[in-house]
Amino acid sequence: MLVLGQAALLAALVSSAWAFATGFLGGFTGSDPLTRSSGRGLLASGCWLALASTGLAVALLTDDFRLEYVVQYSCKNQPWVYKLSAFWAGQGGSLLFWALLLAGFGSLAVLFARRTPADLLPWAYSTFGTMILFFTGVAALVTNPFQRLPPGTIPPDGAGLNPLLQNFWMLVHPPTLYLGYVGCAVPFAYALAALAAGRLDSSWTRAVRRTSLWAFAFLTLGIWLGGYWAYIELGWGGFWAWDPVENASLMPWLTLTAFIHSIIAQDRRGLLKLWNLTLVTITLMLSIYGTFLTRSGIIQSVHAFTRSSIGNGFIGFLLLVGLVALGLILWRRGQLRGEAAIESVLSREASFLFGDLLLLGLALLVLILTMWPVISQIFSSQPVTMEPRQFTQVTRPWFLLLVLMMAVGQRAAWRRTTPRHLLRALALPLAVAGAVAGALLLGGGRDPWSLAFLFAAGFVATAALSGMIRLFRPSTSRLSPAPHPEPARLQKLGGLLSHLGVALMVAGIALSTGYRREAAFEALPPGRSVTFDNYQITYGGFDLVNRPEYDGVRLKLAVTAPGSDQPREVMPERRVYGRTRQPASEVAILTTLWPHSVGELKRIGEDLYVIPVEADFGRNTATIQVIVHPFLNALWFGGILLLAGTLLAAWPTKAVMSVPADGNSTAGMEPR
Amino acid sequence: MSLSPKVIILAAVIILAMVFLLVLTVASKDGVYYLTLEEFQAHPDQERGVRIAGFVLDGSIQKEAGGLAVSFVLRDQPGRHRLPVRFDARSAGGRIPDTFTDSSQVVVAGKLDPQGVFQATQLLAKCPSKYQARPAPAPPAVAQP
Repeated sequence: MLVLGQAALLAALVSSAWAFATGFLGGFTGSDPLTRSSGRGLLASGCWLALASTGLAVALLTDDFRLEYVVQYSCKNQPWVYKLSAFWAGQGGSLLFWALLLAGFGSLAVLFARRTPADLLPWAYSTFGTMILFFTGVAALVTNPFQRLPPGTIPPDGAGLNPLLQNFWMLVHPPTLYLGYVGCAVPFAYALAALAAGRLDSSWTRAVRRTSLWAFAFLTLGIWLGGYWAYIELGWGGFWAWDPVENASLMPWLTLTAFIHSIIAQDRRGLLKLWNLTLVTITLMLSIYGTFLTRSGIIQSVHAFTRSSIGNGFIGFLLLVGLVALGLILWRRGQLRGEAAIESVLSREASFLFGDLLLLGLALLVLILTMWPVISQIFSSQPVTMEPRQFTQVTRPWFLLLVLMMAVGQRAAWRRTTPRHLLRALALPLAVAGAVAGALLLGGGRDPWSLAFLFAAGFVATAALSGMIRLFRPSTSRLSPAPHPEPARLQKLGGLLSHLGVALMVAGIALSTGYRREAAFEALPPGRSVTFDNYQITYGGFDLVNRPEYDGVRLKLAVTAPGSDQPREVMPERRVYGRTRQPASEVAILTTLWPHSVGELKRIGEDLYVIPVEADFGRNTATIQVIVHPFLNALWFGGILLLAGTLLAAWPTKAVMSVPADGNSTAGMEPR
Repeated sequence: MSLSPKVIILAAVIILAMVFLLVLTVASKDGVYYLTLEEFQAHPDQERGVRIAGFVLDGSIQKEAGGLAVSFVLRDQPGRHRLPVRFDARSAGGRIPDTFTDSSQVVVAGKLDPQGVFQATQLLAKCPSKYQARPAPAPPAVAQP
């Protein structure tokens, strides 16, 4: 199986090179047989990479310690799902995984070729071929997961996967994020094809609309899972730390968000063509950069940036992608003019333009701050790093503006809106937003940024909700009718639902970070009760837990939430895993989804987060840290709504449904 | 694509304001130097905060206050340079990471106090050397924002 896997990897190298070359020639000569051959090359790459992946999976599942990769990331008593998840735990395996997904998307493009304009196909195939070739090449030649240990040095057992990664969330988080990253390659392939073929109308953006939404959905889910995992598993009580790896996933998410919105302008009015090409290229580059950042192990020490074994290859490939796209854009610049003009600041198309600008700007700001340790060396003898606080400081105003724009863009009409009409359309959202922020102010919330973001969240949520109501109850309006027929209602509903989700997420982030309260309780003796933020916490000793994978101490706490008279059991655990004696804390979280009394209404969606710090075996005492996160669950729930809305907008519709002539929807509702 | 002058002006204002805020932040003295232990000990009198990467000296960890605070000795890879460090989760906010154990690779941020002890306001720990290969595309196994 090892030999087969290794051979399949090399075969994939050949067939992807074939797909590239024949696609390229097919594009030049317009020869159909060559194009079809290129498509078959992509399908073959997909099969070979599937075979190679099976080889690695079998090696992991059967504890084949002849492979260095298996020794590094797996061990005998690991449950089989975690043996399998070791596939994408290391550099070589995850590059193989990237190539496999890429070939999978390429094969799908071949299978659904009939839906795409024929002149785009050879160039799209050729682009897929190049990308597969690169990732397979790095996996086969630089960090080969089939690398064998010299005979005689084969250990009886492996090191095993880090226990922090041995949980459900870490099982699904990496492949989800990868599907998102690799999914960005599909719109890019068609963008390059559109440039090469010189077909720069909205045919390519239509072809990639749904795939882009799927990529966005996976990227969103991946980031959501990562944040949730960090929150429940890492135990520092946060979900986002502006860590380079997190930023690496945020940047393509931002630019992809801009892309899925601004292709609507190209579709509807033939506008923003240059923007869309630029956004999709940058999104792909950021996805590749993200993979590289995650894979190259430069996490804590940016010093090691260029020392990574795959660093130069990745930088070279990024340059290639950027230069090819730039060259093609310059070559076709004459065709990239919009088919109409942006006439007014107060129009849907202008709001897309400003949204693009803000999202791309935010991605660049995050990139600059993340790379600051490298950039600062230009003028400082020592690298300077940016603290999370500074990331927040630089990006916060633009996120606020962006959230406000979400509601304005949703209600501005195409071409132009008068300020009076726009104000009238936004009167209710503004009133609700003011009421929500006012309530927080009256409740004693004084943090200006939390107030501002809560205002923005109320604004967007109300605009989205009223949009949904109008979607099903059309009313007459004084605004001019739309220049084109409205897209399907389902797509609009998806867009509005996503906006509602984002509004909830914004409110959850604003309140949980702005009004977070924490305390530490040292050496509590059994039976001792403490009160924190009206939560009554009683410590009732601890139990010892023995499991095959770990030994643990389980603290027994009884917590009475404010306004409740029923104490609930809360049991955080300190664990020590396996042979490596790796310690891990299992935090306990008491969620108040609905308050126990009217007076405690502010506790909706609040978490009490209990971190076990230490248990003293001699004196039976325990030390804990507790954090209260107000409204945090709105973040998780909003993320699920955002995902649901995206999937709804990406849902296959047989035909564009006819929407009743709905004047108000000019002011309306695009899938955003 | 033709744009109305107002659109262009508004776009330009957004871009300039973004750049301005960025420059303001990075030019402030808030950013911290990222040093090796050797570089830090050559110039320990840093005005702005520093971040130092190193390893925990085996057996040097002393926990206090029921595990809410810790003192330990930071060493560089060859072990030639050493620095006493103290981190108190109560005053610094955050907590001591699970991955903080003997020989684990750590990054500390903070300043030297007059007694020559490095008072850390941040303590990040990578997985122990057993897991030097980075395990997954995820937020790293560190325990602090």
